[in-house]
Amino acid sequence: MFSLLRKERMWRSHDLRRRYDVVIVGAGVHGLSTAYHLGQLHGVRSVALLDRGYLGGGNSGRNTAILRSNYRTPEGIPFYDASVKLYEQMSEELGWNVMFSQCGHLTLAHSDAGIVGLRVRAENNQLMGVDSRLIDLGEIRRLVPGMDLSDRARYPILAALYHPPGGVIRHDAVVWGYARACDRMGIEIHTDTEVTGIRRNGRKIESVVTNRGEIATETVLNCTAGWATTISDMVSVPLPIVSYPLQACVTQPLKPFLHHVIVSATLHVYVNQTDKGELVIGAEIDPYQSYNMRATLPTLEQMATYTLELFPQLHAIRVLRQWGGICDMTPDFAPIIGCAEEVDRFYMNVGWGTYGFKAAPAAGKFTAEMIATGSTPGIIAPFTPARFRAGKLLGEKAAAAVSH
Amino acid sequence: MRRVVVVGAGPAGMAAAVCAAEGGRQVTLIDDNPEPGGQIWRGETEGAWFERLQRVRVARLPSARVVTGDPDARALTVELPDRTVTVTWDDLILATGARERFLPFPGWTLPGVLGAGGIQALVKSGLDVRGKRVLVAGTGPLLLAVAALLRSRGANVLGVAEQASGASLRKFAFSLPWRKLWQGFELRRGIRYWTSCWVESAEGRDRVERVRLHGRGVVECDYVAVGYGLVPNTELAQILRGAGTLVGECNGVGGVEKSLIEGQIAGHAAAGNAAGAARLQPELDRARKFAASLDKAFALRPELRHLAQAETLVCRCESVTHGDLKEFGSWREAKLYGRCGMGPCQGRVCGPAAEFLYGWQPSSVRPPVLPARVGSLLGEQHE
Repeated sequence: MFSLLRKERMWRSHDLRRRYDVVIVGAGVHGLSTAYHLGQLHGVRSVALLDRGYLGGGNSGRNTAILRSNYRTPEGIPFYDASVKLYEQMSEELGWNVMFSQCGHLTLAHSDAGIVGLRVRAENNQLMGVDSRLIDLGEIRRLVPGMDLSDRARYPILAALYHPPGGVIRHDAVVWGYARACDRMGIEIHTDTEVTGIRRNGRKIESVVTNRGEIATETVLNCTAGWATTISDMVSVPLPIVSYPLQACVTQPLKPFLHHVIVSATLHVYVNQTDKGELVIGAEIDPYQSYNMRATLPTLEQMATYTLELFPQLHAIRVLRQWGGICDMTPDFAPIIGCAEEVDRFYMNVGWGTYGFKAAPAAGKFTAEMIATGSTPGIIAPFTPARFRAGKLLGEKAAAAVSH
Repeated sequence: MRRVVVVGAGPAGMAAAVCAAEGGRQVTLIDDNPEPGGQIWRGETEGAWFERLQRVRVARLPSARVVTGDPDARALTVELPDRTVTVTWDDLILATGARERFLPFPGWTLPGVLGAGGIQALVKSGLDVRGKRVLVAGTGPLLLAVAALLRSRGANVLGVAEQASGASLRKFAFSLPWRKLWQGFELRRGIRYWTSCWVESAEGRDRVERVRLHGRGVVECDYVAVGYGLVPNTELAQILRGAGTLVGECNGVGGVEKSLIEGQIAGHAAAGNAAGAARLQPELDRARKFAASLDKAFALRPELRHLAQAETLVCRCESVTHGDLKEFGSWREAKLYGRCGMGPCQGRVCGPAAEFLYGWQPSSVRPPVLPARVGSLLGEQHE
């Protein structure tokens, strides 16, 4: 099967051209999605995607691949809903199986306050047409019979927000599918190409300097995570971003017993079982800022502890691998999408915190529209970088398992 | 008092623990087996080093797996059968040994096809080979030791197939001191020994029934023990980012004598006995020279790269075949697109094979060093 997959190269390598209409820094899922939509919807194909590492080696390949749209705010919900809908069509659109399993997503409440918070989310979701509702213990038991629903737990489960369209996807397949589609349109992907500087003349960008040479361009999109501020600093655009490691681990495969994504914001853990049977477990963000992607023991202990609170029967299964990625957190936990105020045609699609992978199709689609047409679509207008100066922060707090 | 922690209780680890303890250090000796001795002295209890280990005060943590470690905190996380403990060190000595290199050939995953060291360990822990027809194959001096052990336990050893050429071995033999040469002759006595010979394939319905030997046709057998030399276990050292002193096979495969000398040197050094360590330097130089000559004499021949067929498994955890892997350009690609090395062994078996077959360098090691029970990771107690 793998050999079939490799018979045709999914994307080619190229020499750097001297000039591109658009240079995208970061060839993760956001950069790829933006490039794909630029080419597909707007006919912009003189695009170079630059990545300092290998394709999909950043957060695109390090997340726990959970998709959902049961957010909290009127800005967040329609945006993530659009993204999930694009994911639903993706296999057909790209002619490439991205293995999206809409198995359903449960966010657990362990306290009265937790139930209230989930009720707000359920009401907001329903108002905006997203399938999401509060369910009681009886229904949780029916959906997830393997979970400890007793009142003996340290944090007994009281209710859950059930979001049937949520699920998991094969994150590498998404990256490869976009890369293949971009390549077919003549968009160039340059891996192992590190941006070392961006030259500008007043408000205008002149070129991007890389370890493989200089590229003339007037339009740059910063699509990085972990290095978002590094890239923006090259054009003296300050970003209110702090970076934290986020870790995950995977266990040995088990016979399928868990058919939903289970998330607990009280326990700061999220668990799903892959098609192969492994449990993928995600953690709370690390308690300190760092750019280090090293896996650490305290976080592994935390993941193990919280997983066993939900599934005590898993104590003897073995953890195979643990890894980390870097999350760029903004003050309001919503992303930054828009053009810099200080520089013409320096666009950003950054600051995704822990929500980035879910957002990629919609973020890329609307970012592409913004770059191609010069006007910002309404759905991403709230995410403008100008909001921090204007004091118009969003409130996407408490809409995830990691603490905010 | 400075605390010396030694990981691995094979010859190198035992020697390090003994010398550090004799020098007055507080020593903790961690090993994943119930008894010291490592792979080579498995099941043995007598000998100079066992006696010396008995005489000194060494805190032992047997049946213990080091799952990860933190060089900044100078701490190891150790999984015991019933709990997990944190062990902190002032001086750390890593004697994590080596594992066998398996090279894929058609049928290498059939039941009854074992590693040479693997069958040795099984026999020492009770596998009954009386009357069984066993073929030993691969490369290196270990094969003779395995054949001799099997014969002493009543197996019908059909022969030893050594891939190195006769010329290469003669050259090696001439370089040996008389004592070692005699040891070799003793082990070989009465055992058929074929040079430039290797297993091309193993066949059988539910388990191995016969193997095809290069140039020698088909041999019927009950077990095949195949080992293509040893690969140092460096994963813990990599996770610890250079903390600790490596001794023994994990510091370069070279046999028990080199391991003992390196272990003693590290033990003396940890005890502050620089003179004791320096005294062993000439012996160490000799042992390392011997190790280098071993490497040369038993270098793997290129023909072994072509044994695997398209459908032969290379990564048995994730069922990735040689045909799948030929399409990839690097270990990372093979992992990412083919899932090679993503299973329970985390590339410990297929990694060295892929290194030889395709010339790939494995990418970074991810914790845990060994798969760790979720229940072991709940919290820690200090030992």
